[in-house]
Amino acid sequence: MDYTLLIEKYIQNRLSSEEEVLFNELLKTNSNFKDEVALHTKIKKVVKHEEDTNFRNLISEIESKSKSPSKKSSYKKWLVAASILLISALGYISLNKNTYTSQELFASYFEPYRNVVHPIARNDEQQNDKAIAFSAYEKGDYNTAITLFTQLYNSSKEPYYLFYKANALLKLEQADEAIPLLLEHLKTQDTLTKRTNWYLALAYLKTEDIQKAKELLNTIISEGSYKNKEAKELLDKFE
Amino acid sequence: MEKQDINALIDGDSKEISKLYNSNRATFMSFGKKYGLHDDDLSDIYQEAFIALRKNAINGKLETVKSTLKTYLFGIGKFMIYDLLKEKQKTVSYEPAIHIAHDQIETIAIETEKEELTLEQRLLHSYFKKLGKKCQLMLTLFYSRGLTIDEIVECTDYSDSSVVRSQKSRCIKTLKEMMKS
Repeated sequence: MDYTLLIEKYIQNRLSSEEEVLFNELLKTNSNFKDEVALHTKIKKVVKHEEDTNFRNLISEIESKSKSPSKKSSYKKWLVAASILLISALGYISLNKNTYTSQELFASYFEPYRNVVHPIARNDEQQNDKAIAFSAYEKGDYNTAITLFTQLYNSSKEPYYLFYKANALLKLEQADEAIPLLLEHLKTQDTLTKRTNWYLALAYLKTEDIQKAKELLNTIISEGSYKNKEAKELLDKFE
Repeated sequence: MEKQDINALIDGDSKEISKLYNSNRATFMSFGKKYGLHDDDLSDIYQEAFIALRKNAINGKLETVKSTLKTYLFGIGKFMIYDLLKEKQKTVSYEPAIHIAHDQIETIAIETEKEELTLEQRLLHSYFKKLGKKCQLMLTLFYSRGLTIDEIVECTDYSDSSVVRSQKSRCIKTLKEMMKS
């Protein structure tokens, strides 16, 4: 039987009992097969994670429309606590292999912050600059987004444009240009400011300024602010 | 459970999901209040229960379920309510309201899966996000939704299974190359 087909069936839990015997035999005796299975298992995990995250975000948006925003409840905190326990248990294994560069760490932790300023409605008739800017940002057209965010910031002085422009720059691997914007944003007190330290830490990481990155990660952890769990993980990689 | 509800949960667009979500939310909130919980706790539980419901839909667990979507969803919610009440009981002196409420909902146990990715998986995740939309969709249908190659042919524009197979292996190849570079 074709190996690919066998792995496909394994991934989708469709192996017959005879195929399962063959599968287990190959797993023991054929190291290429074993590697291939490991790879597909990883892909499955990652793809499922992505889909779960997207669905979770959708639900949280629907929920926030159903009620006025309120503080995180103890149930969520409890779930978070449970998952932190799991991470620390599992983290031990992955920490043994500390061969990741700051660039790899940046790539694995950075994700542009989602657009919460101007939710894009499909069929949005009012295509004003702000809508176009955020729509470009959501679509991943970061160059357009950067140009428009710059213009919009100059005319309106709304601090969140600094934050989103910095995110777009980080995505385009222009961390050195993102840093001054994030520092400027930190001086303001808008609703996104509490997230800024995380992105600034990542920007320092990207520019290999490990000392400053560490300092900020420590601040995030001690203040228990946005992404403190990830900050702890990341800091552990440096230790 | 109605097949169309299951399909909407798995493949529905945001409008359909929103409709399903909101059609049971208010009733769940009043259902949950009987257990003496606050709105914040209940809205978190409702979200988690709804997410768990969809996972079960994707895993094919709902196909044999006889009850309605609402009863099943409330069953998951009730399980989570009990969990939270037990948790509260541990931390503060708290008399749980478990015995006060009477309803016909059977609890549905949910395993809380580990959601977090290892560092290596995070890297792979970042590569996955760099793939084109077509590849992301292909891999999502296969790995996350568990559709067979033939089922993918049915729900996409690909002409036949060999095209799907070669597109899928191209996507995997791209991922592998990104991992090596």
